[in-house]
Amino acid sequence: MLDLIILGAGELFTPANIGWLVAGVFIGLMAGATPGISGTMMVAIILPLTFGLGPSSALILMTAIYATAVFSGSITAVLFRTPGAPEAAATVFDGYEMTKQGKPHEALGHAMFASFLGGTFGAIVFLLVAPQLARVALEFGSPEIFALILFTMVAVASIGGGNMLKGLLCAFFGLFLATVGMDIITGTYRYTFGVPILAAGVSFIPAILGLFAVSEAIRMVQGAVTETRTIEKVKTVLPRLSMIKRLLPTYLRSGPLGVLIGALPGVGATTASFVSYATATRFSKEPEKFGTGIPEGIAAPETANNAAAMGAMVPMLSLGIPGSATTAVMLAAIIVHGLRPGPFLFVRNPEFVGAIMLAAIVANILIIVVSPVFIRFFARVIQTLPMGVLGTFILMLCVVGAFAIRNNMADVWIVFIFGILGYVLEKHKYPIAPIVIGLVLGQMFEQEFRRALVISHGSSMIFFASPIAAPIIVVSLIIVLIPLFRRLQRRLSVSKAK
Amino acid sequence: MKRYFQNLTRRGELIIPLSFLVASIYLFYLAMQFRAPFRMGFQVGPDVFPKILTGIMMVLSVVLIYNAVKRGGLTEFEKVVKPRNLWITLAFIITYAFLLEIVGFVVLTPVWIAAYMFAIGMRRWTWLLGATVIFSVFMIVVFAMFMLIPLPRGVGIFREISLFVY
Repeated sequence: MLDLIILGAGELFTPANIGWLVAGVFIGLMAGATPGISGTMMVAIILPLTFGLGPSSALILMTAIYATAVFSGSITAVLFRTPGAPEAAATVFDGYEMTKQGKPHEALGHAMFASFLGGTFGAIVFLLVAPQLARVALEFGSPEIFALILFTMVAVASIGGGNMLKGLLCAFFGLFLATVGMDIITGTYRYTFGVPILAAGVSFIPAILGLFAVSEAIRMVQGAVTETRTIEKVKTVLPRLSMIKRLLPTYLRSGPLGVLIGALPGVGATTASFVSYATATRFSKEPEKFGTGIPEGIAAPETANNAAAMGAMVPMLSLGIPGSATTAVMLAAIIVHGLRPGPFLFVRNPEFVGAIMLAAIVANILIIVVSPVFIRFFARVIQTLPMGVLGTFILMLCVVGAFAIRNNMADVWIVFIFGILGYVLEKHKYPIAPIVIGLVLGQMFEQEFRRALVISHGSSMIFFASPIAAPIIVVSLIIVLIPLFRRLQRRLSVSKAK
Repeated sequence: MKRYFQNLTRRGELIIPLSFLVASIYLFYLAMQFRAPFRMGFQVGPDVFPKILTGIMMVLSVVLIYNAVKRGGLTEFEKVVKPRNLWITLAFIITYAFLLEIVGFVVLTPVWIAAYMFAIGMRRWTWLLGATVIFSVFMIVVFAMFMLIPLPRGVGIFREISLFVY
């Protein structure tokens, strides 16, 4: 691990990469503080702009955006009762109440300090755990990797909230999209319909831009396009030592909880913040005070969501499997920049892995340094931007960014098609993240499936003979079957009652 | 009954899984024609995985259709202030994609930004002018000058203007 830190430091602490890190912190703060722009969307939009950079610089920039956007969503949650990013939704309960009591500076200080603690803790765990997990994963063969991806897809589709059937349909649709193009094993063209550009498959970036960014931009311009807000200048005040002592149990509980939830596929920082808030209420001696503007109600979700964001990066780097939508986009970036994600990254590109890990720690520390300045000067400017202007800018970036990938108009059409698809599906409560994760992991999923069957001469027992793959597959099946059993049980109890 | 189905269709609870079902059946049919050009020992053909995926998609779509018909359309939409902006946005993106090769990036982008913002309802000229200038300069500097992307220059006079700028 020490070699990772030394190599990573050598890669990160160059003037250019430090510049990208600081830029990422500012972009992340702006994205998170702007309602309608989430960290995922910002990372997706920034992806085409990173083509001119090396893989390390690109991922350092994205890591910084991801880490800080999770925090800055709380700025608008505290000030206007509008979470800038979904991760900050739980912060509204007590954060806005505190603002109503005339203490927005204190509320922002709590959010900032808790995010710094949670994020730094999560990043340190990431640094300690990811290399060990990668070492174990190096021993994985085709059946194990197949089982892991299956588990990820099922978990993303079912735990992410909403209708599980819709989630599963989207997950399999994403996996299907990855089959388009030339089959790597036999060279057969599949679903190319005579379109030459489809021979290389559905390009990740235009699809991601369409699904995450264009669909959101359409929603933005359908709202009140000219509406602006005017707000007073706000300062931040960090919590005092006595207050930190009071909140210590909350920090200590929420940090590990956040990392653990974040590392699970499909359960992101948003769920972590709500679970942490609920847990803090349960452990509190005065649970009735939650929701009335108490510091615990801000510290719990804000520690957990930043810790969860870092937790989601553990499986992304060590296993090559994204734990959240944002890490799926980052995984796509790793592939686009010519690196093969997964445990081999630790062997072949240790300086790259080390730089990302250190960037995660530094970005979280920078939250506490840069945020007070940001909140004082920039948050006000961002809030005065009308949605129509923001939406236009996002659309423009997506269209031109897609063209920039291969200098091909076909990619612009892909953005367009996926933008409509994302808009329609999300409107009908079909989740988008499983499509993206399926598209990113699909090719590997199919290859490992076929390779395993070739090794076993066609016997599917190979998946159940492995002591690692078998339990993972069984757990995946259980996740799918539980709702079915529950429904059956409910129906039986209803018929008995009749 | 007719109204019931109209309601369902309008809300997409039926039409989306139905579209997935039709697409899956067609894609499954296409997968049946995928053949490997050569065969060496045991191998899993290029058709197997697409068949499994489209097969599962068919089953899931059927269950969703069954649920939609049984329960009725339940999706509650968030209210939108300007629903027609969806069509305006789609029309503008298509227009941009069609005109980019002819008019070129430098001329089309500012005109597009100003026209689009006006079309979606922005009327304050400070925003229209400011956003048009700032966004256009940003796009040209970042994509054309910094990233050196060969963005389309257009034809004729548009090409001359483009060559003058970058």
